[in-house]
Amino acid sequence: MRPLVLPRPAARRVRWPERPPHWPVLRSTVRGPAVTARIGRLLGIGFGICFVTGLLSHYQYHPWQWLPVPAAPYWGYRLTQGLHVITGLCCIPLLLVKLWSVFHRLLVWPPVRSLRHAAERGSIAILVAASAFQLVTGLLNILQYYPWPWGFVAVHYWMSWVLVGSLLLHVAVQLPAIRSGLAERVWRAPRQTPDESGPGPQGLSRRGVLLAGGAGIALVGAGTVGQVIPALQPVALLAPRQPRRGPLGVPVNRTAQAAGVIRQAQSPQYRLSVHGPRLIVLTLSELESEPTVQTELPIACVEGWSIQAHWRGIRLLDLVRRAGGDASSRVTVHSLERGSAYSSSVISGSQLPHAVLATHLNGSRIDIDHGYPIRLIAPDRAGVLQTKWLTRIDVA
Amino acid sequence: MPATSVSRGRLLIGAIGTAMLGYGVVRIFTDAKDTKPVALAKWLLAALLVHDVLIAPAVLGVGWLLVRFVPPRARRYLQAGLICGGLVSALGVLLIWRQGKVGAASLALLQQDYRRNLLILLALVAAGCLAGYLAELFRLSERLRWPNWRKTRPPADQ
Repeated sequence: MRPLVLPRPAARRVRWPERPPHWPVLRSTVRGPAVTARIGRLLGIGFGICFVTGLLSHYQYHPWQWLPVPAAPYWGYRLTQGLHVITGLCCIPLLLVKLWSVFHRLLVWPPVRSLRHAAERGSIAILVAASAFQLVTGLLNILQYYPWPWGFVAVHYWMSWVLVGSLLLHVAVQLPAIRSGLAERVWRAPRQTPDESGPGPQGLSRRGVLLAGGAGIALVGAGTVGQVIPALQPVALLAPRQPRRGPLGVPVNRTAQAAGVIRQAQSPQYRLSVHGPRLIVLTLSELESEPTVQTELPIACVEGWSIQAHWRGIRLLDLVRRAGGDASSRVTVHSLERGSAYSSSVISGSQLPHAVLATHLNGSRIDIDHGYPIRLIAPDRAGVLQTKWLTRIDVA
Repeated sequence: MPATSVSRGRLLIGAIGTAMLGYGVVRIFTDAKDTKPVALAKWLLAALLVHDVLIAPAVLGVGWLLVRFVPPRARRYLQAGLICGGLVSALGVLLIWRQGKVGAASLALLQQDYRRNLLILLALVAAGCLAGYLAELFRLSERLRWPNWRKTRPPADQ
C-alpha cells in the first residue's frame, strides 16, 4: 500500500534529569520483539474471537425484533459461547506471558519523551488495564463471584469495545515492530552461545520461553475444554463445571430452592395458562396427557459449559395455534420465579416451530431443578433463555 | 519540517481503534447507572497496579534468584517448569480459592477437588522438565564418551 506522508508534529520534548542511579534496568536476551510479536499475535486472535463471540452472545439477550436469533445451527450458541469462555481462559496465561515480554518497556528512562510518547503510553495503559480487567472479571463471573457494584453484563460489553479499540490502536502504532519481530527467526535460530546470552548464560532461550508458555496455555485449554466437550470431561481438571454432573446428567445453574418456586411448582393448584386470542388453561394432569414430541438439543450456558440432552414434551407451536396464534407469533414464556431478570423470555421466528415445552429430560420426568413441571427448550439459545418452571405463555 | 510516512492501512486501523475505544468510553458514561464509572476506574487502576507492582516484580525476583543460585544447565528446565506451572496455577489457585464458597444456588459449579487437580498438573509439568533435564544429562554423557561423534557424520543441513 502506498504510504501516506504526514508532516511530523513539532516535538514538544519534556526535559528529564539523567537516569537515577537506582532506576531499574532490565536486561534480557529473551524478552524482545520476536517473542512479544508471536505471543501478541496469538493474544490478538484470542481477543478477536472473544469479541465476535461476545457480540453474538449479546445478541442472544438483545436481538432486534425484526431479526430474531435463528434456530440453525441448533448448536450455534453452544459453539460460540464455549469458544468465548475457553478462549478467554487461555488468554489469561497468554496475557501474563505477553506482559512479561514487554515489562522492561515499562521502566524506560525517561518515562515520557514527548506528548506523542505520553499518548502512546497512555493508550497502552488503557489496553493493559482493560485486558486484565476483562479476563479477571470474566473469570470471576463464570465462578459466580461478583465483588463489584456494577452490572457485569453492561460493563463486560462496553469494556470489550474499549479493549478491542485500544488493541487496534496499539497494532496500528506498533505494526512495523510487529512485522520485524515476526520476521526474526526463533524456531530455527542457532543456539545462543554463552557470549550472547547476557545476564542469564545458557538460561531458557526465546524458543524455550515460547514452548514453556505454550505448554502452560495448552494445559489450561486442555484442562477446561471438557466443560464444552463432554467426552473430555475426565481430563477437565481445571473446568469450573463438569457437563455431566447434575440431576439427570445435566448441570443446574439455578436451583428451584434458590428461585423460591418449590411450593408452587409442586402444588396441586399448578396451572399453565396460554393467553392469546383464546385463553387455554391446563392442569398438570392435562399437560401430561398432551401429545408429545422428542428432540435432541443442547443446554448451553453463558458461562461456557454445555451438554446435549434428550428432551420430550409438548410442541410449543401446537399450544400457540390452539390459543389462536401461528408460526409468526411473538411468544413470551413466564416462570413461576418472580423478580429475576430471566424469569421470562421471548421466542419467535425460526426457533418457535422447534421449541418444546419439556416434561422429560434424558428419559425421566424432568427434575424440579431443571424446571418441573415444564420448561422451555429450543435450538441455538442461551441457557438462561430456556425458561424453567413455566406458568404462563403470552401469544402476540 | 521532517516528515514521517504512515501507511493508509495503519491509519485506518488506528482510526477504527480510536472510534471503538471512544464508543466504549462514551457508552460507559451514558450508561453510568449500570456501569458505575468511578468504581470501574478504580478497578482498572487496580488491575494495572496488581500486575506492575506485585506480579511482575515477583516474577522478576524469582528469575533473578534462579540466575543467582541455580547452575545454568538445570536452570533452563527449572525456568520452563516455573513458567508452565505458574501459568496453570494462575487459574488453578483461583478455582481453589473459590471452591467451597459457592452457595447452594447452583449445582455442579466447582465440584471437583481442584487442589488435587492442580497438584496432578504441576506433577506432570515437573515430570516433563525432569525428563528433559535427564535427557540432556544423558546426551552430555554420551558426548563425553564419544567426543568425536559429530565428525563421523555429515553436517545436518546436507
